[in-house]
Formats: sequence, structure tokens, C-alpha cells
Amino acid sequence: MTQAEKNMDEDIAIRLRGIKTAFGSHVIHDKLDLDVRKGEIIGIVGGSGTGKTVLLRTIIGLKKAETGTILLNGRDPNAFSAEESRLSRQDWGVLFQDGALFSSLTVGQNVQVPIKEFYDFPQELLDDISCSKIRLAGLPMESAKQFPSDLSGGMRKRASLARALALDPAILFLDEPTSGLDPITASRFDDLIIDLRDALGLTVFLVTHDLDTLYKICDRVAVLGDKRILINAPLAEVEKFDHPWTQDYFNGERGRNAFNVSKLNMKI
Amino acid sequence: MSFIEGDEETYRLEARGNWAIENAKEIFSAISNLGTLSRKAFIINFSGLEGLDTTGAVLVRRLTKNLGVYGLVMREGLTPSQENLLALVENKFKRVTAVEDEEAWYFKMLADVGVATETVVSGVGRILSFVGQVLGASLRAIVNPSRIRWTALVKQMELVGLTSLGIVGLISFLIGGVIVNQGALQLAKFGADILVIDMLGIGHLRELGILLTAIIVAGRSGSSFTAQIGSMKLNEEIDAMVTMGMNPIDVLVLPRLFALVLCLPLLAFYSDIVGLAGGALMAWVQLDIAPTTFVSYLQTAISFDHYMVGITKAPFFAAVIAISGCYQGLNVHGSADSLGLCTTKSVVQSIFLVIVLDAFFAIFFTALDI
Ligand SMILES: Nc1ncnc2c1ncn2[C@@H]1O[C@H](COP(=O)(O)OP(=O)(O)O)[C@@H](O)[C@H]1O
Ligand SMILES: [Mg+2]
Repeated sequence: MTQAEKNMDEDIAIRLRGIKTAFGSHVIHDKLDLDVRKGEIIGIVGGSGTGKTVLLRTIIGLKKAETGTILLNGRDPNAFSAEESRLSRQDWGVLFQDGALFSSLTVGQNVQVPIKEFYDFPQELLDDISCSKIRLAGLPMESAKQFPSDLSGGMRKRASLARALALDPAILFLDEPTSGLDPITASRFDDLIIDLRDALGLTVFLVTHDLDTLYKICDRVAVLGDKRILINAPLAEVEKFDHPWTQDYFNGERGRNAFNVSKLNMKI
Repeated sequence: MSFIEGDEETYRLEARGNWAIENAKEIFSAISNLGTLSRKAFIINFSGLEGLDTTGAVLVRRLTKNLGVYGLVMREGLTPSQENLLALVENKFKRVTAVEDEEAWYFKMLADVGVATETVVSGVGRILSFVGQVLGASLRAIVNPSRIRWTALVKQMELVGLTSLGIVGLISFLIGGVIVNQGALQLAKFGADILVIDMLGIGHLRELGILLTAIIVAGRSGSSFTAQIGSMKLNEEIDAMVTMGMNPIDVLVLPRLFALVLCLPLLAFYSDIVGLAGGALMAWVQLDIAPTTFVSYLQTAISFDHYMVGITKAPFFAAVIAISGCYQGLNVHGSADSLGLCTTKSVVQSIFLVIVLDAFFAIFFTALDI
């Protein structure tokens, strides 16, 4: 292995090789390869039901791949001992598509759950941290005392982000974080992700349908289709990629609009 | 390793090390232990910082705020991205605890009494209005059977009736056997062991058969009604139903209520037969009474009324179990905790009501001389 290749390897946060997943005889992914570099925001796009959520669940170990290897920061999570596996949970935060907050705990307590799992902090510090994360995610302070069932869908997403950020993870998995948010809130969400990436060097694995988000924050875009990653490249290349779904998606009316807005923003 | 070092003379503090979540506890206590400082201005130097994450930023804010009590605070040596992170964390901050503040105990006690009274009163009101709605819907359905959801009804009958045959049969058989076994031992002292058949006949047909069946069904089906309807409630499926113009009482409650009202008498009959069979077997083994003798003695000793008393109670018990199961299911709101609580309530409530109702029936039938 040459030095350059070795450096490349150290730069990889997530490496998937030959992944195959299936539910019974229903194959979702086959021979899927993907590399995500450290510190980059990668956008995963694909039609509904192409298996974006399943891919995310496979990477974080909630679903077993039938074949193939997964390396997170160069290590195979399947080879971890039980304790290593527990500790490795600190390295990533997940925002599930439906929030998945604990319904019997307040938002503040939800954010404190992962912290309490790993650290023994005084309550004052816990409150301090959880409130900061809640503000950081763009929720009003009062939400800390509220229960998830008292929040709107968008607020629940933000509460869930606050919980995903609780341990300052190195990799952040976001499953359609801006779907169901109004455009202004969604755009603030995007700003927040960039700020966090710049300040903390996060790697962000972002499943999204939101073209504005793709244009605004993603360094690279991976298109999921035909059970594998069709292309994983900067947006400019993906736009030109010759595949019916990709062409429809980026060069349809909505795609053009988002593209024009992003051009406009650059000029301003 | 020390994370902050202060110098009283120069008003300068040096922040060092990795201000990250893994060191947060030590940094927190270092900040808390700074003590009173008689200075009017402070400069915190962060150039020695090895790392800063959001928890670190929270601690920086905390340090700044603590020192701010004594005087002006300035920070230096932060990189732009660290400044940025601090700005994110400092944005309009006000700390709120994650749970509601506690009241003083004497207020809390009064408040608890008030809340409990209100819960009981409004609970009775709501349960009565629910029973009324269910009765209304049942009458409409009986007058106009096309409103009945037959598929759901048959499905529920299978779930509450057919699948509970095993457990109801097993328990009735054992109890029938045990009554004969224990009763015969006592009655033998009077040389009247044959009377154990009277005892089994009256006890099992009038009371035990139906009571056992009702309690098993309350535990099995009442709880599952609550859990099914409750999780639909949590999932907003009931709201979705209402917006589609479907009435949850028609769709969810009636099939369960009708299924149970139809099945519980059948189950009670089955339990009676199996219980008698258990008793007959025990009588054969223990007292050497042949099954044919058992049956012919039973026919002369036990009047048909005893059986009718038991079976008459079944539909009423069924209604109590189904209504309290469904009512508690619709009562679930908010969280998974609430689901658990309501399921417990539904089972306890329906068993309690079944036994109370049974006591009333006993008084009623005695008064009628049946
Ligand atoms: N638990 C499951 N059991 C069976 N099939 C599933 C399950 N979860 C997802 N699938 C199937 O996997 C496919 C991909 O789903 P998903 O990853 O959720 O899609 P999306 O790309 O919209 O997130 C779908 O066809 C779905 O039917
Ligand atoms: Mg999905």
C-alpha cells in the first residue's frame, strides 16, 4: 500500500463494501459500495422505498447485512466485543425518521438519557448541557419541560436532533431531518448542520429529499437506485449523471428552481 | 491535570487541556471551586486549549457567567470556529430544569387531594357517557344490522372465544377435580361423600364456572383490547379514523363488545361441562363412583335453574369486561407509560366489577328464590 492510499484510508469515516441486505426474499441492496470521508456532509438521495432508511439502519447495526463489510473509522463494528460496542455508541448520533423520542420522558430528560448512560454528571451540569443542546437545535427553552406528545412534528425532529447531539458524536446520521419542516426552519436547520460540522469536524450522513438542503450543505451526493449507489460525487457531477431518475430529480422543475436559488445566493 | 489556573495578581485565567464531554465533570468542579474572586475584570486565555466540543462550550459559558458576577470578562485565544461554537451555545440562553419545579409539601398535599377528587368525579362522568354512547351505538346496530362490521366481529370472536378454549378448559377441569377431591375429604367425615356431587354441581354451575371464565377472559382479552386500542390512539390512528368519518365506537368497540357478549356464555357453558368432567373423573378415581352413576345422580340432584343462573350472568360480565377494556384503551394518551397504566387499570377494574356484579346477582337470585 502506498502512503497516499494509506492516507486515503485514514480519511474514511464510513466504508461499505459489497453490502447485501434483504427482508426474506425481498432484496433491498446488492453489491453496494460507499465511502464517506471524515468531515464531509454526504447527501443520500433516492426514490421512496429505495432503501435509504434500511441502509442507515444497516450502518448503525440495527439491521444485519447478509454479506459485505462495514468499516466505521476503519474498524468493523461486528468484530467489537459487547463493551466496545457499547462504548462505540458515543461515536455516532442518530436522528430517526420519526423522531423516536422516549414518550414518557420530557425533552430535557430525553437529551440527558445518553449522557447519563456514559457519564456521571451532577444534575446542574446535566440541565446546563441539555438546555444548550435544545437551544442549539433551535427549540425554545420551555420545551425542555414538555413531553414529546405536546410538541409539533417539526419540534419533535429538533428535539430528536438535540438528543442525537448529546454526546458530541463524530458521525451524525440524519434520516430526512427537514421533511415536514417549513422552509425557513429547514434552512436554519441546514445552517446549524454546517456550523456544527465546521466547529466540531462532524461527518454527516444525511438522507434527504430536500433539494435546497442538497444544494446548500452537501459536499457530495450519493444516489441510491437499482439496489446500489449509482454515483457518489459532488453535486455538479451528479446533475450531469445519465440515469433517468437522477435526470428527473435534478433537472425537473423543482430541481431547476433549487439550482437557480443556489446560484442567486452565491451572487449575493 | 488542571484545566483552569487563575492568577490573582494579573486577573488572567488560563484554560488548558481538552474541554470535551469526557472531562466535563472535572472542569465543572474546577469552575465551581474557583471561589470568590475580588477582581473587577478578568481575561480568560484559551490559547492552550487542546479541543472544544459543545459540552466544553457550555462549560465556557458557565465559567464566563460565574465570573461575570464579579466583573467584566474577556476571552482571548479562541479560534474562529471555536468562537462560532460558543456563539451557537450562548444564543439567548436561560437554564430550565428538565422537570417541573416541586411545590411546597403542604400545597402539594392540598393540590393532590383536589386533583384526585376531580379525577374521580370527572372519571365517573366520562365512563357513564361512554357507556351511554356504547349502548346507543349497540341499539342502532341491532336495529340496523348492516352497520355491524361482520369481519371484525368474527375475527374478534376467534380471538376472544376460540383461542381461549385451551386455558379455560384446563383451569375448569382442574378446579372441578380439586373441588371433588377436597370436598369429599370433608364430607366423608359425615359419611356423606356422595353429596360432593351436589356441591360441585351447585358451586361450579352457579358461581365458579362463570366467574373463573370471566376472570380469565378479563386478563386475556380485556387487557388486549386496551393495548390494541391504546397503541392505535398513540399512533393517531383513531384521529385518522375520525377524520375519515368512521366512529371509533362502531369500528373498534362494538365488534369487541358483541364478540365477547356472544362468546362468554359459550365459554361459560364449556367451562361448566369441562368442570363437571374434571369432577366426575376425580369422583371415579377417589370415591369409586362410576361416571354413569355420577351423571344419573347429577340429573336428580341438580335442577336446571343452577345452570341457568350461571349462564344468565355471562353476557353482563362480558359487557363489563369489554366496555372497561375499550374505555381504558381510548383513555390512553401521550406516552408508553400511559398505555401500561391503562392496561393495568382495565384488568383490575374489570375483575373488580365482575366480582361486585356477581355479588349483586347472588342477592338478586336469592331474593327470587332461584
Ligand atoms: N421491517 C421491514 N420488513 C420488511 N420490509 C421492509 C422493512 N423495512 C423496510 N422494508 C422495505 O425496504 C424497502 C426500503 O425501505 P426504506 O429504507 O424505509 O425506504 P426509504 O428509502 O424511503 O427510506 C421498502 O421496499 C420497504 O418495503
Ligand atoms: Mg426512509
